[in-house]
Amino acid sequence: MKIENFSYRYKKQFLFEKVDFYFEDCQVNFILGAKGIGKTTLLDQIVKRKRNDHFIGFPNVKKIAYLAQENEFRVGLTVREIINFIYDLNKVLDLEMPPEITKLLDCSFNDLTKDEHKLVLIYINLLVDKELYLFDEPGAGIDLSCSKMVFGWFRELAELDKTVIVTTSRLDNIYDIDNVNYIKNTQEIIADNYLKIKARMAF
Amino acid sequence: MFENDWAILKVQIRIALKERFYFIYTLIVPIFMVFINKNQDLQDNESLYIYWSYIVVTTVFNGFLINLIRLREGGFFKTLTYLMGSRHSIVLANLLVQFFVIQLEIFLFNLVVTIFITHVSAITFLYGFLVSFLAALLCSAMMSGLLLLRMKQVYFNLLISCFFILGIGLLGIRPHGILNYVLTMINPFQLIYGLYVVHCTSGFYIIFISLCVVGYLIMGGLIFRNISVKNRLK
Repeated sequence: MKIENFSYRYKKQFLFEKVDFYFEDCQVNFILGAKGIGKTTLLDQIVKRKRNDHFIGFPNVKKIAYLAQENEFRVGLTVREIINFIYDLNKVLDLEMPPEITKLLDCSFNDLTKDEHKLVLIYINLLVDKELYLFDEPGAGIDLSCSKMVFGWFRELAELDKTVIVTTSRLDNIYDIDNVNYIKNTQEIIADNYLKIKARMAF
Repeated sequence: MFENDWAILKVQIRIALKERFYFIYTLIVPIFMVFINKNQDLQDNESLYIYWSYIVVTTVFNGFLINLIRLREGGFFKTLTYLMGSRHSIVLANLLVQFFVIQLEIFLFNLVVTIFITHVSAITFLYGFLVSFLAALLCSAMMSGLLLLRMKQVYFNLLISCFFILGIGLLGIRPHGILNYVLTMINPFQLIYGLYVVHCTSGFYIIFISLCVVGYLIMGGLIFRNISVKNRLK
């Protein structure tokens, strides 16, 4: 999947100006960049119902799962009821439930801590059977061990031949061989494996 | 084929039944008011319609509309849309749940009135049941305009509070003449009341109400069709 010669303006200013992005199929891909640089905007463009010709190889919107960064939604259901709702949907993956989720099953969604809340939301997004999974800053606001576990889940998803795109402004949880699109500025995107990106980020 | 729609409908019903707090002001308050006013204004069905109108508008607002706004402003509407594959299924499920809740509330309200205050005929029960479908749909369509507002959350809350207090206050004065037409057009309480009393009114008012119904249904259809998953309140 790739985005070629892409430009996007917000309030008359370019967020992206004739840039290219490249994503490996069936792998965990990263969009790396400072806060406010346009990572969420890029994901929003990927999930647009009518994409323009610059977006190549992306699946139909119905085959994309997208976990937005802001998810302050609270509801008086238990975690079990929420997961059962996902199981009722027409295409669900047969994933083994992590113990971290199992122990929360009977808790009310309203009573979860911030970390638990995010873990459950990420997990329910993994459960639905889609071709492409987008996660907007999944590691933001959760502690390091939680975020490490979550990125482990993403890698398991990639092993099931699913493509995952994750935006992040942090460098932890990225492996040297991972495909990274580093947004340096509005006109320059460096797309390569993380080892090479690290070498070029210094300059 | 409809597994996703059925799944979201089930979960929305579960959420509606768990969030019982709003039943206090959508059902308990009108029951309380009808007991207070039972000696003066319950001589005819038209008096009942004021309470039905209150139940419909407050339930649509506190259930359907606030639910959607909370989902969207919390960012979950976006996530849920891509989980489900359609944002319209979420809106539709919300609407169907409101139909169910409104029918239940109006039935319970009529039951309380008929047991403790004055006899409500079977025809009135049936009339309430049938017209409330259109009333709920019309009210949702009319108030869908609120989904387009882009302002600070605090101003939104203030606007809604004023809108409600004024709406209920103006309904209570039972306006006549041109004021009645104006208020019917802009006040959801008055519009829904107008819909319930339409069979007891003049030919011109029936045409006017019909135009309002068609206009608001078209407006609501367009707004819900193009509903944005992005948050608008700051």
